[in-house]
Amino acid sequence: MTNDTTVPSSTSTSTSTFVLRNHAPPARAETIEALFAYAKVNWKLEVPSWPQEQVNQPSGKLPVLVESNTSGTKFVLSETLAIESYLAKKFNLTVSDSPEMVARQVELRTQINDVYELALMHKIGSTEERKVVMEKFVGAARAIVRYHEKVLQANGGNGHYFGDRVTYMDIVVFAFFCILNSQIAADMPRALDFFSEHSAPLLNKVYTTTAKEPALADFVSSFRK
Amino acid sequence: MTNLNTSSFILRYFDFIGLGEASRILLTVAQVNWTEENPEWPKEKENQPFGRLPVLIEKSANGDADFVLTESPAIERYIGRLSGLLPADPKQAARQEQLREQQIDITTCFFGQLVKDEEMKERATKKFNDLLFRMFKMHSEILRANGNNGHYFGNELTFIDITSYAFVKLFIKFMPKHKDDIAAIFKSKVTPEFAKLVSVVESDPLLETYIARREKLGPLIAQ
Repeated sequence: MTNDTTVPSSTSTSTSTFVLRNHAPPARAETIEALFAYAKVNWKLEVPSWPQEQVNQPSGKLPVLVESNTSGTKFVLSETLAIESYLAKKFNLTVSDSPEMVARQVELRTQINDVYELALMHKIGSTEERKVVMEKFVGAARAIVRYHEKVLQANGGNGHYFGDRVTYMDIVVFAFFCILNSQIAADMPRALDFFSEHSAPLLNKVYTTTAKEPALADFVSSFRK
Repeated sequence: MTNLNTSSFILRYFDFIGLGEASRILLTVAQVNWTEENPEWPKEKENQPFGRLPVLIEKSANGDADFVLTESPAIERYIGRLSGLLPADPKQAARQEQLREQQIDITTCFFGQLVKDEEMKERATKKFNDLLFRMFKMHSEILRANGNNGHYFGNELTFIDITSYAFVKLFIKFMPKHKDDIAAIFKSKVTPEFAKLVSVVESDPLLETYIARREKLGPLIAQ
């Protein structure tokens, strides 16, 4: 596997403004928020009354992205992964336009989603459910670490998934570690073991490298207790 | 770099509809040279890049290393982008990806109902029913707004037409084998717009041979 080193500039020249509709904190669409922060775009959080406003959402779920351009035209998009892919492209954070690299990004992001979903199931589950889910989380975490450490090694272990600049997958993993070290750890302390510096050194390097980006300073501090 | 005319593709998946059918149909409509491998399972599990299926392997004719891809959403979108079935315009592509994500969510919930734990099953069932209702409503509105011509957008096959057809196929042919009430749920939820989509996709000349080898869904929806 080779990692494309043709990484475009991440500077966003977007003139659009963005509204992210989501549930109130502590719920967070952390990757989307991190993308906004890194791209330094104008965005705000809207927290609809729930469930009263459910019927007014495109698919009855949150988050929802509402993008307004300078002429006032709105583009409304739902589904977290579709929103992230769209914003990553818009903010020039996709590794390149090559279909192979875009597909690799989707693949890596989809894999990370497994642990997000399992962490949520663990949080809301009964005692018995939590045992079953924890077992699945262990399997998923090990598979992710095995695969992603190889990808990162192939890119020289420099703290980036592709090339030598921050791209979408760096932001994904950075945001994941923010949530892992806060909300997920509070509910599943054992989860930290699988993503520790010892178990996942290069994933941790992505996190620490990306966390140093000045544009993400406020975002990082928003996770501190 | 991919050259659709000279690359060949292997789709590794189980010998059933599951999460591989959309990729099968996309590969067929893309008119690329492709074959399918059905690995022995679980014997071949640890030989897969991520320990699960499907896996797509693209072999280049010019000696480049194989491009190996996992995760059905990534595979579907890759074939979609290569073939132009997924639009190049970011907003149009995002819309189709959004619609596909909704169906993937429902599929995930379906599998969540197949667990032993009753509370988990109940939670997954509730979410499944809710998402299904919303999906049929929203997607039918889009199909209607496009003139109910059997396409979500325009008047030619696109990514979401194909993946929606595969979703209906999963519903009618795969899910009932694992859960008794699925056939009745589908019958109560399916809309004329989806029936039209199925009919139009099955009539597309690019799928003539593929459909001829399999049972058509149209008559099953009409029942």
